[in-house]
Amino acid sequence: MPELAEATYNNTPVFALQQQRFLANLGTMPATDVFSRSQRTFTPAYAPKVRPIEVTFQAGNHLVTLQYRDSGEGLPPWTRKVLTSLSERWGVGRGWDSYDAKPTELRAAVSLLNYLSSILNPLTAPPLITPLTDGGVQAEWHTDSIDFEIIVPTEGPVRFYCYNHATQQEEEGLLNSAVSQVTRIIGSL
Amino acid sequence: MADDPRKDDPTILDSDRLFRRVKPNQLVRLPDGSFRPSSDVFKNLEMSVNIESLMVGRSPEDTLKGYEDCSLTSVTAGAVRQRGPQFPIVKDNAPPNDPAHGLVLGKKPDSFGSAMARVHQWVVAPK
Repeated sequence: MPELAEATYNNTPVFALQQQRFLANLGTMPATDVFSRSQRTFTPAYAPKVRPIEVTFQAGNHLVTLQYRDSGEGLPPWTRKVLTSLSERWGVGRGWDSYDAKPTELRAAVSLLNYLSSILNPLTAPPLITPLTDGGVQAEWHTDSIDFEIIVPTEGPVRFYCYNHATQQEEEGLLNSAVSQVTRIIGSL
Repeated sequence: MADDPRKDDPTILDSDRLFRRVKPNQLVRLPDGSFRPSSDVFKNLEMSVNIESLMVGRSPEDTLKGYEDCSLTSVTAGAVRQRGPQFPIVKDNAPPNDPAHGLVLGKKPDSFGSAMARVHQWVVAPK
């Protein structure tokens, strides 16, 4: 395996969820503004004061600093493992898969982080992150009963796929149009 | 793909194994501690493989020549065909290509990649 890269949190050891809202336009944010979309679209008068938390991780040959807009609850508990997984598995250079894969793109990783911050709850087991050969990334969970994947390609909408080992039933589709379905699956992880 | 004139090659038998390299960052650890390839390993539009029956005088491990950090997995041509005719398997061994080289064509849904990941067999397992 590649050398382990640790995610670091600028003097902020913990992370917390913001108001949980699933947003239909998650794919439109600038690449370095992570975990903050709910703040942009959900700003009631009683919204808590937002403070930025910088999160740094190794993306291939580069150290990337992302900003999380914390509303007082800190970073979600899955963040460290997800960023470490992302760092370990980043696809570096064209052909990183020994065939013709495109390098992992930061915007795909950021998009995935935003999705995860919107749909995971604090008790959800952190997913493993794997690179896609089109430059995208995928979050995946494998338990004794289900395989579940969230696929963020570099082109096209974010998708999900679920396979139930007991029933051999498959579910797949676009994440934005199946929020309740995805929430149910995540609840069973 | 609809306009692609290439058709499934019936001389590639269902029992033929198709070999594909897997990088360490494409490995997924399962609850029992074993590894499987990420489903994306099997989702390229033109999925490059080595076809067992064309590797005359060569071992499957020869696919790893020059890629010693990779594992080697296999699926059978029959397993690919079970997912439907939209995934034709063709030879792609005109020089300068590897004489054993082939392609699994077609846009593959996520269910295809996951199905292959469930039925795959390691030839050279991850270390």
